[in-house]
Amino acid sequence: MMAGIAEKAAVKPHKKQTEFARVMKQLRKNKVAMAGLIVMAAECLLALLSPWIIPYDYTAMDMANCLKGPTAAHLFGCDDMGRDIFSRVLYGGRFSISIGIIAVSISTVFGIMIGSVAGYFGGQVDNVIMRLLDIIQAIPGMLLMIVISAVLGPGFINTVIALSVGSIPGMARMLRAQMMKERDNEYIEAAQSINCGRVRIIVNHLIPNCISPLIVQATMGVAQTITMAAGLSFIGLGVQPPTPEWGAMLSGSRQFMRQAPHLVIFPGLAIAVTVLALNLLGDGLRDALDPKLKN
Amino acid sequence: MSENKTENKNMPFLSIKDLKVEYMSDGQAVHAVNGVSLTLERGKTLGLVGETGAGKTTIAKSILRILPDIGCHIRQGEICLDGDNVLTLPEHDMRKIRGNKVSMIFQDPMTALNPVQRVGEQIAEVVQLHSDGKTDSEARAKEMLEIVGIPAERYYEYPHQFSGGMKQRVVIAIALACNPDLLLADEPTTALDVTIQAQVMDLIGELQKKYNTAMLLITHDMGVVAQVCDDVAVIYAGNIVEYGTKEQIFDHPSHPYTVGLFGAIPDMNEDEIWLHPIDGLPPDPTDLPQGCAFSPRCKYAGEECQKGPIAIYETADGHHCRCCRVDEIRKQEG
Amino acid sequence: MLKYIGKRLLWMIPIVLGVTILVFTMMTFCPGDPAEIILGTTATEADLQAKRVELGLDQPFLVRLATYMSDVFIHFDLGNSWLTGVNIIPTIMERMPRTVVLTVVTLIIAFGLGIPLGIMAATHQNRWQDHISMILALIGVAIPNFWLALLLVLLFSVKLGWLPAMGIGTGIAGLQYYILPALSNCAGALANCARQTRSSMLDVIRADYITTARSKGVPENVVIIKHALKNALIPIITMMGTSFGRLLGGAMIIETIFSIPGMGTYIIGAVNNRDYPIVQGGTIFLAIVFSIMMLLVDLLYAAVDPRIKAQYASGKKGKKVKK
Repeated sequence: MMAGIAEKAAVKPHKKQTEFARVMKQLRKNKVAMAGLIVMAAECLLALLSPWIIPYDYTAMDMANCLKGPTAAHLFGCDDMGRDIFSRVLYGGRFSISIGIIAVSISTVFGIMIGSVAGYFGGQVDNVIMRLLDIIQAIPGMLLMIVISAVLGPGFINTVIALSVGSIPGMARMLRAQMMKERDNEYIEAAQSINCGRVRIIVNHLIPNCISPLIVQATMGVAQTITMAAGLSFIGLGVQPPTPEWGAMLSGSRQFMRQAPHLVIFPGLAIAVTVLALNLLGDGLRDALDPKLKN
Repeated sequence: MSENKTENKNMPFLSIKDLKVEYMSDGQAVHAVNGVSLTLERGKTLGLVGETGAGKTTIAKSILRILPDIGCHIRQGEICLDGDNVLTLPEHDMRKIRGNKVSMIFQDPMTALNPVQRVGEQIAEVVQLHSDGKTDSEARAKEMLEIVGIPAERYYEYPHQFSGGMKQRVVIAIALACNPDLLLADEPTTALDVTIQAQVMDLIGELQKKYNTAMLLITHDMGVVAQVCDDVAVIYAGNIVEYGTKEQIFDHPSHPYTVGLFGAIPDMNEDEIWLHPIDGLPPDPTDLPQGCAFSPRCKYAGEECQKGPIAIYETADGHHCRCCRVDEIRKQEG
Repeated sequence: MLKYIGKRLLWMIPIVLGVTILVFTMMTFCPGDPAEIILGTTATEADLQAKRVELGLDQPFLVRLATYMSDVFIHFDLGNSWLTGVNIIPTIMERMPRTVVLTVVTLIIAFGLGIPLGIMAATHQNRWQDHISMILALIGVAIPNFWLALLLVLLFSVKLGWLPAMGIGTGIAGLQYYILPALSNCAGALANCARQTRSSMLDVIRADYITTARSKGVPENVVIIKHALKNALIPIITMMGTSFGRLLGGAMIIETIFSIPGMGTYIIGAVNNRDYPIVQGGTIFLAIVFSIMMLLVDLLYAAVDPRIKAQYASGKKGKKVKK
């Protein structure tokens, strides 16, 4: 008996590693996706280490250098308060990137929960949940975030909440669709026939098999969320100056556009590069996870 | 529509000489067709028999030059239609031939029709393309529908409103709307139910006789071959291994592959305990063996079978076999 | 078919009611005292209290909700701005067309350029046209629209002086004011459209019925446009539907950059001014407009694909094609 359980335990982790290893192997073949992965990893690392590696304190003002363009000393130039833009962009990555990752993580978790209940139980439960999601999604995305931001006010945590709530319906629908496809499969019938509890079926069997499109969606979602967070900060909601969130920095650059175009260029470039890297990674993951989707 | 048919009694209507076609797949060359030669007279039917992947559809598509552009090359060969080498014709001349002089019936009726276009219009389109505006294409299309046994009112319906068998009839209507001289039928009944198969084959046979259309019938069903074909060519790994009239092939199969094919068909009149498939698998088209492609599976194979390309031997008048040991095999089998 | 439209419109009613309840409930949690916002910080407590009673703020929540719902749906009154006292609906009627023009122009550019670009990429797969289009598309998706707006203003208004950087004009000449805004907003949608078109076309080009068309002697460009594109349109239309929501949101931000007096500046300005009835009313209005647009997209499917038309007409609950 003990030997049997030990055998089972020995088999399970081996299987899991093969699937992950297989996906990683496929991904490695895709040079463009790997470039995206490396850029993202580099950005995350820089953001994490930024307090220690930035050349200047991101709040340090030096009015003598006010609005000066890029120089050797100040790679990205200085803003209207004489602060070094390079340091601010690097430090700002902490906010922009983490908003994206946290908000998407939250919306994925809730999306999985709601989607699996709707997808597995079907019927009236599904109907009610879908109508509720319809109501939320009847409000165009950005507008919903604006309204939630209006209610909660600006600030880091409030922005994360606003962004995650807005993304939950999309994730829930996706998981629900996958789940409805999978739940009629025979291995589920088999699990039910051995009296496997419903929660166990959902968590151990169904969700792992439905998760691939969500991984891709989550990756793309981080990119979208970073852009939307920047957008919210740009219009005065979201994260506000003096926090060097990239969207907030762009908002502050508008008045000085004529004299100091470099204020506009670098924060936006940071957003674009991040989003590009994430999209490339997401495309690569999509190809690696399901070769049938490839063109 | 077909122009004046210049009856050249000396030249066959269709003549393929030494056709070689290659696909590129994942960086490797797939040798789909390896030096195929065949001829077809007006009004006659040639059956092209072989397993899936033997290269039959590729030959048909080469005649019409509708092989996919990307990664597909006709390496060498000549395809002469009524004296003109089709492979050297400019594209706009080729377009005049497609659907008009030569047309094709495809294997899967479920996907052969455009889902968002009315069925009648799909037939009318081929008429319009080849009629220089003189013919009323709608009327002709309705006429064709009636000929294939579909009420003309269904002209305005869409493919999803038809069953599989009916869709195949529409495909046949499209193929025959311009009275082609040559019909390429690529396994026209494989995707259909057995009862519908018989109906569709009867329809094709009837129309072929009526319009004196030559037909290249691709199939792996020997029963269909027996029913409609005049001549038979057996293909294996992109090569014709045996060629002759229907009687010659059925009564005196000579190539070990052909023998194996007939042997695999269960006899209705006897009790069979085991089926007799041909041992082994078809060769990898990216890595064909030297010499005879069938030799790895052939129970008569000898050393000389693997040496180099095998020549064609004529065992009887018009009966050809690509086997260097054919005489010995005949002696053995009696 | 009409039955289907009727059914969908009927379905919209509970959704719109739900949105109203949701938005109203959310807005009650907004920080700040409405009376104070309207009367300013100099007002006396007595005045404030009187104002609160006037606004019905002393009533229980459900009563206020019911009052609001009856105002909106029976009297078609979204209330007045707290700051200016101006009735909201006439202002929306004045501002909405500008947002609509901006969104429509953006859509036209995005699809007018995106679809041909995608077709070109698909018909020249793996050649330079394909690679360049897809690289441009990747960049287009990555660039935030507000950043692109700033860059375009920097180039075309500040440096070159060719196009206006803000405001709107009248008549045909007024259209020039929409050029930079539309261009900034369309990059993402254009890029997505090109990618989706390419991928749909590649799928369709491999289909058997395309080979059938070629075997009939149909010229290649007719094969692509008449046979392939029409079948490839369905996923493209789905994408149009999802794009529309993002475009609308994007238009709102773009309006603030270019000072276009549309719904975007109205609502965002109201948020910053704590003029909550505008936020509430504007959101509900836009939600209704959005739902109608989604219905139109679904009808567009039916126009393009007879199988879907048949599904609608037979009353079958077709699968929801929202992504």
